[in-house]
Amino acid sequence: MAAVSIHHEVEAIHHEAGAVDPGWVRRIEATSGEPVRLCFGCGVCSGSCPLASAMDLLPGRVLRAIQLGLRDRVLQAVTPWVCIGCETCAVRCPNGIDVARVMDAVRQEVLALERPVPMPGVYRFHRWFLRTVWLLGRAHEAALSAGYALQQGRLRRDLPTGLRLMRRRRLALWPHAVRRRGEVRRLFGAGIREHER
Amino acid sequence: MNAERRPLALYPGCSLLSTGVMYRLSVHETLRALGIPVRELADWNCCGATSAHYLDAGLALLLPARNLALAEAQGVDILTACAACHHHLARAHHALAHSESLGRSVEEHGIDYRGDVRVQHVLTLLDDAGLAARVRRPLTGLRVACYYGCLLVRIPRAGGIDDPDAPSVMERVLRACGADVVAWQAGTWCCGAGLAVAEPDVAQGLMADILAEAHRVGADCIAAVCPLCQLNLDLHQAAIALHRGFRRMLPVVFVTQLTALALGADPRRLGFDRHLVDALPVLAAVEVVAGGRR
Ligand code: SF4
Ligand code: SF4
Repeated sequence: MAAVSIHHEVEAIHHEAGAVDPGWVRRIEATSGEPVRLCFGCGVCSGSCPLASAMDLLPGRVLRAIQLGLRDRVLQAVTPWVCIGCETCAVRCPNGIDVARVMDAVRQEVLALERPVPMPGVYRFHRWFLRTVWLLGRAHEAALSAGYALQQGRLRRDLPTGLRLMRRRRLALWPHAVRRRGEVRRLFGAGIREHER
Repeated sequence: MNAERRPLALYPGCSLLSTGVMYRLSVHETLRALGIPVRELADWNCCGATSAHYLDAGLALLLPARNLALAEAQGVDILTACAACHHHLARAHHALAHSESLGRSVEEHGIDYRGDVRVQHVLTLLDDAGLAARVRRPLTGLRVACYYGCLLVRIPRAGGIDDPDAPSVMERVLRACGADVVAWQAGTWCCGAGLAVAEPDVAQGLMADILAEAHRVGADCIAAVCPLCQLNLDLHQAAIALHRGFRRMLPVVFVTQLTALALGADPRRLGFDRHLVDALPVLAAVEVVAGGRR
């Protein structure tokens, strides 16, 4: 990534972002539980993020853009969908901000507003994961992989991988389930249905 | 907080029932060899993993909370093996133990948790178990690269068990087993986690860097503490090796497979037949197991 001063960068995202929502930062602070306004743009999180090269806005820039109220720009970014929640940023941030929680809040706002999901594949993967948990109380890797591969139309590509694992007896076909599954299903409340749309 | 130690119950987590089955087998064999009684938490559910916090913040608290409440009701402390399960359970415990209002809101979902359960990772247990005196089959000559991955050592308020940048607990445990622990840079690098499924190219790039670093320092194998790390590095290695021109394959074993071996467990009970990159040749080369392939 070319070295661009923060001011230029911010001006550039400002320019392309259009509308500004100055109250957004407080709402994201409420949903993420993280003090986003404390971020002073040092970029340490961006520098330590293992997935920075696959992101369109670096993690620190996401924080900055939230401070500036550039809501549309952030809700369109692939960054929160690429973030895997490894928490490297959280241990490095001099202000103790758990950036991964902010990414969670942004993603969940995209879903709540039914905005287009910038990376549908990743989203569907996690949805299949939670589906198996809803069904059984536990994740079921075989069903998750099969369901996901079918939906993505890549069964042919993924099948050999599944077979390699099965040959090594590492893909349990018979599901292990929680006995009191109702207790687990209750925890999903409206949540899973919201994502089911 | 309850100071007295309760019996330990293993929380295996979903992966240990399937792709990470060798981890579960070898945790039990290790503890058996040490004479530490352990059962499994009854009726446990998924900790939510990445997917819960990814899509639903409420679920990310409630799923682990049910397990904590189960442990409390069963009078046990939780022993974790999977790095991600450890992180999510410890994080929920920390949040609930420090906030009464959160406690009340999980109660509304039928979860009654007072905050008394200790969430302990198997590595910490082994670190305190006086391993060196119990070793029957030292791993002398085995060059091991200790791979922590991300979540096990991340942030104290989520149960990070060691220094996030320079952890050393796995090195101590394996050194106590006689292994030749190598110094390398990639111990806490990221394997790509769940992105390996949806975005394999991105994730394989990260895995390739880890494998390249292990090759650079001449490791015989990589020791893992997370079933997803192990799966990623094991499953994708053939493709990566082809792409990056690695001439040697590096077995990726669970740390407890090595401790169980050192403590004298029968190698046939440790799931070595489940690996995609066969680990037996490097173990046979240092005479930790009898020669020959599986
Ligand atoms: S948690 Fe997300 S943003 Fe933070 S370092 Fe990891 S991948 Fe990057
Ligand atoms: S490390 Fe913290 S303060 Fe620095 S840019 Fe990232 S979030 Fe902001």
